[in-house]
Amino acid sequence: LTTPGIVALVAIALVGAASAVIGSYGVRVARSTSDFLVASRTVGPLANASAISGEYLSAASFLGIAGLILREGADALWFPIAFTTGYLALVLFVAAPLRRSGAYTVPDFAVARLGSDRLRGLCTAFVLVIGWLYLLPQLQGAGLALTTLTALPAWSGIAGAGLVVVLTVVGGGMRSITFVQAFQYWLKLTALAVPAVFVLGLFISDTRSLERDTAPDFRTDTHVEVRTDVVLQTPEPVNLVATGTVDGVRVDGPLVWQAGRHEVEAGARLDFPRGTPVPTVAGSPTTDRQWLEMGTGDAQYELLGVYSVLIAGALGTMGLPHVLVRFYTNPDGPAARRTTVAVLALIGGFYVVTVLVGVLSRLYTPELLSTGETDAAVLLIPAAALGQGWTAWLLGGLVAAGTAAAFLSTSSGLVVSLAGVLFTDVLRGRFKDFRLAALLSAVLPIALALTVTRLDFALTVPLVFAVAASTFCPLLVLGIWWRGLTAPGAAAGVLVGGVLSTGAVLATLLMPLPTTLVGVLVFRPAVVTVPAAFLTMVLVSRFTRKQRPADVDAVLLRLHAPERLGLTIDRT
Amino acid sequence: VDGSTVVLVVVLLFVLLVVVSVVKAVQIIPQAQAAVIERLGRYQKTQTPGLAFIVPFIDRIRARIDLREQVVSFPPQPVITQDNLTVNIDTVVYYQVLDPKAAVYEISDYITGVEQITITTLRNVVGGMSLEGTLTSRDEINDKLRGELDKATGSWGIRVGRVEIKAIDPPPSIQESMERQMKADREKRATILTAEGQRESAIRSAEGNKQAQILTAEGRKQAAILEAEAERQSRILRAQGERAAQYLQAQGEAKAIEKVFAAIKAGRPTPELLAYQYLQTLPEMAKGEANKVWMVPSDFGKALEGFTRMLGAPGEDGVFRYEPSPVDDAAGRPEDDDDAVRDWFDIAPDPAIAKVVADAEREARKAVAGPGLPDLPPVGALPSGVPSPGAPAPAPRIAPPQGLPPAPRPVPPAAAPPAAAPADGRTAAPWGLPRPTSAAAALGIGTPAAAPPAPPAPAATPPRTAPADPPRGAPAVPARGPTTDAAAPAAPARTPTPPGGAVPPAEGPSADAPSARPSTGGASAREAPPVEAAPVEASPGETADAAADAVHDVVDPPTAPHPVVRPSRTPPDRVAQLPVPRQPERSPERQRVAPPVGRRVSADDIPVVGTAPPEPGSTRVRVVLSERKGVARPVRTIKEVQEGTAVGELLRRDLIRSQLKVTLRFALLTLLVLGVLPAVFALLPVAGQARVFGVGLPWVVLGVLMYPFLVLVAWSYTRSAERVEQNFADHVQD
Repeated sequence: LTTPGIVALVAIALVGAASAVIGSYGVRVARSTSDFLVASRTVGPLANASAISGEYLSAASFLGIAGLILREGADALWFPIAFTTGYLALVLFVAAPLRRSGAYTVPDFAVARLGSDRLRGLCTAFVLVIGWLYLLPQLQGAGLALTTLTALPAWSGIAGAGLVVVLTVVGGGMRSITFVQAFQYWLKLTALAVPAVFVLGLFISDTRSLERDTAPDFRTDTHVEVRTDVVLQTPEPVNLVATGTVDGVRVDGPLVWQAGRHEVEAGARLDFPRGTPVPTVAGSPTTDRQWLEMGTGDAQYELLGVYSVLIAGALGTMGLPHVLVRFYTNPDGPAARRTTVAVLALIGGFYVVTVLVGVLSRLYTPELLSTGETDAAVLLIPAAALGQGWTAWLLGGLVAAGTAAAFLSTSSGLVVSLAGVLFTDVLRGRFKDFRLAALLSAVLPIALALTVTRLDFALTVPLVFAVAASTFCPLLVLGIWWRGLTAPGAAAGVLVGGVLSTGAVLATLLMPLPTTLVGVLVFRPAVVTVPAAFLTMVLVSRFTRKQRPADVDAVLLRLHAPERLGLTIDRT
Repeated sequence: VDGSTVVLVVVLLFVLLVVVSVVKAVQIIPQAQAAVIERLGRYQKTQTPGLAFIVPFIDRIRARIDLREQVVSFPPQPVITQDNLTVNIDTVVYYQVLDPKAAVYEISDYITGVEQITITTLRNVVGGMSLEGTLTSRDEINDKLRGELDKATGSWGIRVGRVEIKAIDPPPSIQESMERQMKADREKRATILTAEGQRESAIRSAEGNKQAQILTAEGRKQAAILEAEAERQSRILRAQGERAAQYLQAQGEAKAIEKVFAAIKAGRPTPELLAYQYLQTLPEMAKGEANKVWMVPSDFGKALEGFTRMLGAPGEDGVFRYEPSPVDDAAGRPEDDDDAVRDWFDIAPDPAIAKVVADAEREARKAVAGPGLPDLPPVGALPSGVPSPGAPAPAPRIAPPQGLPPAPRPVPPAAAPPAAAPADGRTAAPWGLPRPTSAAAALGIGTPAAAPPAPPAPAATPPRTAPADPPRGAPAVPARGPTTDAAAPAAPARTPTPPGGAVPPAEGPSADAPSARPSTGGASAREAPPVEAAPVEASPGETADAAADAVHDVVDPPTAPHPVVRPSRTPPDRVAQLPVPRQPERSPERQRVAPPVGRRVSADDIPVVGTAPPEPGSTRVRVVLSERKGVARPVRTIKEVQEGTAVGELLRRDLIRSQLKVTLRFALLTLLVLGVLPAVFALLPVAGQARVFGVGLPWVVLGVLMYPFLVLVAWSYTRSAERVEQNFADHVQD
């Protein structure tokens, strides 16, 4: 263990301890089931907004966005925008009515609106699918962070993160989670902003610029181990020492790559000397100028991908279980709206800093482009920019703390909401069962994370959003605004959207995709699956018009009428 | 800042301008709305539903007017009535904008205008009415309000369709007194009901007592009669037995004496024997308890000598011997039984007596069909004068004074009358004999009694010769038909001289009584004025009694006639109420004095006296009994919304639609920006390469500016949405 590793571990331990302290403070306040589940609806808008932001800004945002920027450049700017726009869609279409529905989860909402138990079961299934799909990269990200920071094995990070999450949830329920999350948002922002300010100072005084037509250079001799088959491309000739199968040939010694694409098989080890241009993964911009400008990668159908990501992000956010459940902790509908506006501001601010860090990482950690582990950019940038020293180590510790916070907050939020769904829909139990449900909802993804190969954040997270956008978004939006929705229609829509998007997710995870239109659509399915789900829902609802619930008017009124008329029914 | 940046900024601004212009130029007017469009501040036109193109920045939509019928509910207005009471009246106005232009330009706020006119007109109209009038003449108020409103709002392009008064709340003090009045009213009813109940129960129990006593007396009477009959017959039987026994005893004694004397005579007793017998008897004599001192005559022998001398003549030996006296055979033999006395010794029970006893027993065992049991007659129907118990008395009379009665009296009919009496006023049928007929029969029979030699009544036949049948036949005659048959017995009644004072009054009524009574009895009785009824009441009774008394000595009368008398004795005013199923001309006064006891007394029959009873034709009046609370009205409107009434449905749709409109407006804005930007950057490489302040345009726009933009959109949406909700809530709670 090196000194920075120890500092990082200590920082992570401090975060865990602080979470536990705040959580236990919450435990003392938590007295009833309502305390546990929805924090008795007494959380103020700012605290709630901080908590929502803290919960929402996962490792994908904390690490993945910066990595994506590092790799894709200006084209990656759409991702944070998509994730932020999700909250705008939320506040526009869902926030207040959903809060007023008095439901606690999407299945609850489905039952309250359409009164169908089958639909409820379907929704429960998809809540679990989405939650688990989303938990998986989070936990694996924890492993990556731990490996990167401390050189400890990845499984220890996954197991440790899982343990802390389960303990927090089992200990305090949502009330403690709320304060923990709020605390973790500010921690994340600090952990990102402080190193960013330091590195920005360096960058301003730096003579180098990103406006050049060459690829970034390796700043030190760099050893790269290729874990999956990868295609690298370089704009200039590169001298390197390679061991393994490169371009279909078994090599073991010095090698010169001409400008162009080079296939490297898994298991190969590449050593680049200092000063050589950094080869990048195929499909990404190679030179810094390309990187700065938009639409310069050679990826096919890029515009389609952008729209798909925007759709997935904008409409998928409202379908994420851990985001939805947050809205029930607001005292009323207008508070839910104001909370969402605050969330937008908080998340926006955070993403601005993240983008900045991503830009800076292009200058300071370009070697990640070759390893493919661009997600580690945020973790490595303090040391890379500031060199070895206590400043760097402390900043590294701060980043590590932020990373831990990111994993913990999102994971525990997911676990709480999944446990809530399990608790109310599957177990149908009492107080004690909530802890059991929390344990159950965490164990499966932890086991999966330990066994499945880690995938890039940029790959998995939009896919999860796509699933959410194809299932719950149509259900919520049409359920709230269209009185013609029927239970069969909703179920059909959820099923169509869910099956299509989940199939796309599985296809993406399990096999290499061609760069054809179909391949892009499978990789970014939202642009197809979301309209399909909406269309199915509307059409089937029209055909099953007779099954329209009798109380639709009363329910809609309850969703939209202001609280002061006293129509809302709250769970107690 | 290089040239390309400036160009780009200009291009962007232009694009923005175009976008804004397009957004402003294309306006969609939904169905049932109209937009008043001004060009540079001057009225241009009224746009009908559909797509509308207006010149951006020059044309302006002044107002969108909803052309549907609107419902406005005005808060309660304190209004002073003519009798100086303040009532709160809240109104609902249904209006529709017919001319959007007029509605926009002729009045600044037509809703306020309508409200003010409503209030002033309301004050004007209600000011000329009393509270009572206000509460009852809502239609009138509505009409006047509508008239006034129509007049005023015509020039505003508004048509007032309906004006409704939702509630008129009298002041608390009045409400309180109304409540008190109602309470007193209900208490009064309760008291009346209680008194009514007590009265009825007292009457019924008295009735029951009376009937019980009558029945008891009747029973006792029958028992006494039977007892007396039994006593008589038993005494006769006993006397017969005794007679036979004494006769036989005497016979025996005669035989014994005869035998003794014959023996003595045959034995020719000597003094010695006598002396011996004497001495034998002496101790017996001494045995008597009373004899303590007993003197033996000193000259004992002399005494004996005397006996002897009495008995015989001295014989040759000086001893007195018995000389039988000469026998008188002419005296006859006492033991020779006469044929005349032979039946004295028949010990078989007399079948006639056995029949009587059996009849009596059967009668006694028969369950008394009490008049009240199956169908209790109305209390009021009961005659106050209890039928004379003596009336049926003649029934059990035993006709033959001597010998065993071969004619058992038909007791049963006699038992019924007292019970039948109460009922006969209304329903004579169940109790057998129709009254009027019987009355005639009574008169008819009574008259011959007064004039014994009169031939007509078959009942006058001597009992001896016609023991049982004629009396039975007699009642059958009147029973047959009310008028024709009754006339027959009645006719002879008038032929003989009327007896004393009893008949003259009877004659008048007797003529019409049979004719008037037959059908329902009650109806005719009511027709008969009390003055006329009085003689009726008196006469038949007296006549019948007198007749009965007379008849009873002579004949066995058909026992039925007597009940006839009873209905006549009923006081006229009672009679008036007796049978009437429903009295058409029922005045409250009369009911109060004499409530219809005969009918089932129910609460709604109780007349409300003292309060102003609701007239049958008046409309319903809503009386609010409790003080209005602050939340009362909102709750009412919320209920309307909640329960999906027409108004509520309207409000709900309006709310959701306006919310959706706000949402879609902002969503469209975001969609436009987020939808256009990727295309712009992808299709215009110059945009992606542009620099702003040394930084690439995409980085500035997408990396930084996009977030404030999103926050701004969300924030202004929140403001708008909250305003919509505010308006809705205000509207509902207003």
